[in-house]
Amino acid sequence: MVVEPERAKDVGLSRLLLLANLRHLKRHPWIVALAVIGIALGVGMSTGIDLAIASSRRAFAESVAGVAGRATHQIVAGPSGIPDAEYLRIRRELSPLATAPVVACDVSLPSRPGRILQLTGVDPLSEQPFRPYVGGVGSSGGSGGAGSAVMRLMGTPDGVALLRATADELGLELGSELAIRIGTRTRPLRVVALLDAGEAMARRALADVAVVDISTAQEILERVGRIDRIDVIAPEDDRRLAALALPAGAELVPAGARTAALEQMTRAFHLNLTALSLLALVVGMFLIYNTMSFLVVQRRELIGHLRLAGATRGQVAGAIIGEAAVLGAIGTAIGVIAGIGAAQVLVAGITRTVSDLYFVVAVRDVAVPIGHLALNAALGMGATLIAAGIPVWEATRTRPAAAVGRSTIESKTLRLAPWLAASGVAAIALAGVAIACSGRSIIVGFAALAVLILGYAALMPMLVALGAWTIRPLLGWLGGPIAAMAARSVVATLSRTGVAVAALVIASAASLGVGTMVGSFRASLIEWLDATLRSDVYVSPPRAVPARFGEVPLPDGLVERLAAAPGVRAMVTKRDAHPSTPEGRIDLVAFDVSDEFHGSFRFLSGTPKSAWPAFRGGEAVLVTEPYAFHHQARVGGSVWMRTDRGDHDFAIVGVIKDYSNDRGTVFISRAAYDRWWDDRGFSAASFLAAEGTTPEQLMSSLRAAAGSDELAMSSNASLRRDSLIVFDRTFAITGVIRILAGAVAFLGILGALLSLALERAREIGLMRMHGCTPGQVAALIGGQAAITGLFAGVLSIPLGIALSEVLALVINRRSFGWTFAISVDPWLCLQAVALALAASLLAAIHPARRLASTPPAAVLRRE
Amino acid sequence: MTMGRILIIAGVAVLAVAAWMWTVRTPVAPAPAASVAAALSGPAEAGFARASDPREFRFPADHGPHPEFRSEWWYYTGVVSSPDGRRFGYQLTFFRVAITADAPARASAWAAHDLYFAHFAISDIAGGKFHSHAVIARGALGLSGAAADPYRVWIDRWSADGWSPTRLRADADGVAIDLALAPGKPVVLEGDHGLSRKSADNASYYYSLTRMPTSGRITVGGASYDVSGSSWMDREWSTSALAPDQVGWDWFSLQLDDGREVMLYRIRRGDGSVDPFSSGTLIAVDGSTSVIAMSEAEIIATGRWKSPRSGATYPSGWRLVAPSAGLDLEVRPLLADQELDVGFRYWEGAVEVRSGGRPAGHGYVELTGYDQPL
Repeated sequence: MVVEPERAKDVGLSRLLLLANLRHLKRHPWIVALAVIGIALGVGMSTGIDLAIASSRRAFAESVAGVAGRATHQIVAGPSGIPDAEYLRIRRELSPLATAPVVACDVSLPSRPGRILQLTGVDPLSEQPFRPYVGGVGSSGGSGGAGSAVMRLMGTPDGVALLRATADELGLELGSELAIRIGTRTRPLRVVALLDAGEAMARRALADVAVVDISTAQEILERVGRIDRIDVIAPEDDRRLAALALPAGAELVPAGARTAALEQMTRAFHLNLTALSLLALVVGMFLIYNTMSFLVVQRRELIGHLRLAGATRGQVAGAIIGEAAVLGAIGTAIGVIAGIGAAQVLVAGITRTVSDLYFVVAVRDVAVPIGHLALNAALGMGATLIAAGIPVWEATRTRPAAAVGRSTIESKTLRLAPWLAASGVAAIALAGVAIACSGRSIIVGFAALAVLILGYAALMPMLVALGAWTIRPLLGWLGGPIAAMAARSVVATLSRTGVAVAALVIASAASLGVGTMVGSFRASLIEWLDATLRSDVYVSPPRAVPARFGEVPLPDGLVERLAAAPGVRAMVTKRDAHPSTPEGRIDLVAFDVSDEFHGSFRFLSGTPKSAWPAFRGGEAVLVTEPYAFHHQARVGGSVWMRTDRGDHDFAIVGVIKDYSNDRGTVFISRAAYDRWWDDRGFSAASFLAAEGTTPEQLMSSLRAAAGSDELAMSSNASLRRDSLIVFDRTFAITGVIRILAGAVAFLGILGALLSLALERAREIGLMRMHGCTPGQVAALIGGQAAITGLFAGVLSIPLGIALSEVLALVINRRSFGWTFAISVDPWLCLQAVALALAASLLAAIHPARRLASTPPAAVLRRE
Repeated sequence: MTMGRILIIAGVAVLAVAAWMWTVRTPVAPAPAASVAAALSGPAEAGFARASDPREFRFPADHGPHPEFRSEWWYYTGVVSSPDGRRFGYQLTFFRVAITADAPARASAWAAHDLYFAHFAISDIAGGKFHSHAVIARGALGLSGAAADPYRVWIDRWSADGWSPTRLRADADGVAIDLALAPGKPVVLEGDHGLSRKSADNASYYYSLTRMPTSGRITVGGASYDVSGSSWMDREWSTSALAPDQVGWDWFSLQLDDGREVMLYRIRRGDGSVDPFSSGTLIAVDGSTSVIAMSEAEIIATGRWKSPRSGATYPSGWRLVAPSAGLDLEVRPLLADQELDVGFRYWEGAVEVRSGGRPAGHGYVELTGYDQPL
């Protein structure tokens, strides 16, 4: 007090605050642990999913970039390919700009089911400016160095070069045979060179690439005379490139366009995953809020004393925020580390789905970019500080003189409840308006979803109070004074229970909403599959995954052989193509579909009666619902496509239901396709069995007709089953997220009950002194938990259904372009109630036992 | 001359492919070291025809490719000048090398039996600059190739077209030639009626056009010059390779002002000695030839030049003495730095010839095996 009295006082107070905080935290390890776990789970989830998505995207971008090399532009062929002679012309016209021809296709390895290699046919002598690691076929192990390795690649009709690491992985060495499956046929290749890629990126990019000479590629892919694309290195706005006459059906795109186009495909999928991961973080915020308010409420008295001793609001706020920051930092650190671990597991599921639905991607290692970690850590810390903000506000508003008790807080909470509820109603209304006005934005859709959830959560204190008040007489009549007390104590401890109920409601509603959405989607899918799958047997080239680009057609003549097989009553052929349009490449399917299959197309708009004749006439196309959504297309509009006969507008005569492709598909009649494109290939065919022929008989008859061509054959039933397996696998991750969100909510209710139990120790002690048995105490706590859980469960149902509707009509539509009707499963609703009840009762066990077993005298003495 | 070109074909062909891959990636790194034996193990000799006995040359068929032999080249060099006296040296060389001896019939038009590569250099004497470039392409799909009648050798836009005259065209990075070469003197069959022995077991078929009146345009540094002068063309094909102890060569093709030409080469061995298969030819004004006995000829280096790129030291300036032919010539590079840096490094440059202190002619010199042993 002699020197710098103010400063001395500050230091003393700060230390006092710190000591008080530490002592407090030590006394409530459970609460602290819950807060840390809550944040850790939330951060872990978001980090894990973020890293898994980032890794899958990076792997994909690298493989595309690795294959594109230093090309600045690509001339990408239409469905019919670019003739060799056109390459020659383009090379001459663009000279001295560097050009490189590429023929590429995904192939599988019979010896390694599931392993996909990208067979890339190049002219090694044109490769140097583009992919030096391909041209610089490194130390080959053989004599003669790089040059002779290139010469061996060019001079061996079945020669292939692999990255040395890939060869090691596949157990191959120079001279080994590598069998690859292309379409229906297996071809042996011989390893004639091993690549040593210097840069890590090139190494990763090449890990799944099998380099062959372009002549080899053309021959084994049966694309003699055709090139898939021409890579070009040209300066920005090069005049020669701009003036170049493109081959029929081809388009000129910047090198990054393909990555961007494919990224676009998965964007909605990734966005949905991210949103789900953020849900876990939001629930984690409840835990922090819970913990911090508990700690604040517990110390109101202490804080009051400190304020009297001269501590400023800032000091008190700083101390509490500091406390929250420490907890948040620990939780965040654990979460980030756990997230890195989780990513290793999640990435497999995510890439599997991407490969199932979009394109082949193989992730070798999970990337851990510091930026992503920092972002997720910031998210965790931000969530912590926001969640801690309300209690801090509450603590600093306390007037020093007023040593306010619980009752004041609770009455204040009760008073606040209607206001909170009103703001909740406003938030829900806002969410509705946002959805109505945001058009096609997925992000706004999710934001509205979050606002809807928060708004609903804000209703909870009011609804809980009303509910408890309503059922108290009933409970009193049913279960006697203890039951009535339990109901009353729910209201009396609204500041705790309101939040816990909100957390539980959100978790339970999320579970119900996602479950209902997935269930409804599945039901719609089954209905659609039943309507669409009319054939008995489906035939395509065997492939482990859907090939997006560079699809291998069925060999020439095979379709005719199959059509003539005994037991075939009718055949439908299908050709997948990707012509370019002003909006990029689209998925075009050419069908030759006879009248009896018309029923498998379900028209959402347009009439079959007028649509089919126009479709068969060849100037009209059908589009799927997702196509119509993404391209804002409708009956009466048109699809502009680049054909081998020039650019042409095709009228849209129908929008049909489809769940097979979330980017949308355009259907054209085969006759029209043959008129507009030179491609004569078939991608797949399906067959109806003749009278008296079983699907099994038909399959063996087709197999016999196919001869040495291997075919993937599915019966109607197995195709249906496989589709559902892919569906279930796709949504498996939502199941994991639901479980985790539920776990976080469970921890929330556990924390709330635990803190309540501690807060009410004195009250319980008094009850015990007045003759309450430990059983009655346990019943009181359990009853309160049961009421909380029941309320949460029941209240989660409306929110859950609302969520499923928003997910179906807003999120799914905006993400994938399709819609489906929500059908509420009463069983799922019941499950939600049971789960909430079980979670709360389970969470009550520990606090109830603890309070019931503590001798009343000890409780009172400690107080 | 024989030996030099054989060595280039044999050693460089495969290396050129490798080096081509290397240049852009690591511009300052030395070309990959590879022994001749290793380089030649690309396509094995088995399955190719060999040059072992003198043959009857048939023209124009022999101007075209000989796919039954492993390697082959069309080699043009010349010294030209503009009307105001600005001098240039140029080199345009096409090489063919077989990828494989057995060429099964294949469906793809990309399937190639040969690959072609070419070196193009301009020595801008007044500008003090040397430009060198290379291209490579497979001999398929019209990307590159050679034909006898009408005569044509080409890789993309670099080409030699027609026989009388032959039009040479090449361009890269702002330097270009567009020259017309008349045949000039009759074809000279080198060595033993066109069979040129380079070691005990190895030989090639070899003919030359030693003085081809040349005119046309050269573009350098954004300016075009009308030029005239004379060129030298070598044609050679073979399958076999160098002996292991042969490390490099010094080769001279000189056009003397008195109307005679001199072709002279010296093969260097690993121990520093001169290989006895070194040889020379003197072409008289009327085109008749006589052998220059290397046992009595002397080639004395009078200067040295160190390459800033490779660090290799080349001889730079010589005195050539061949008493039986009555030759005592001073040979001086028109530019010190005429080292081709096209992956594989060698020195090939325009020279002037003096005799008794007076200008006596000009020509080209090729120096190999100084950067690294072949």
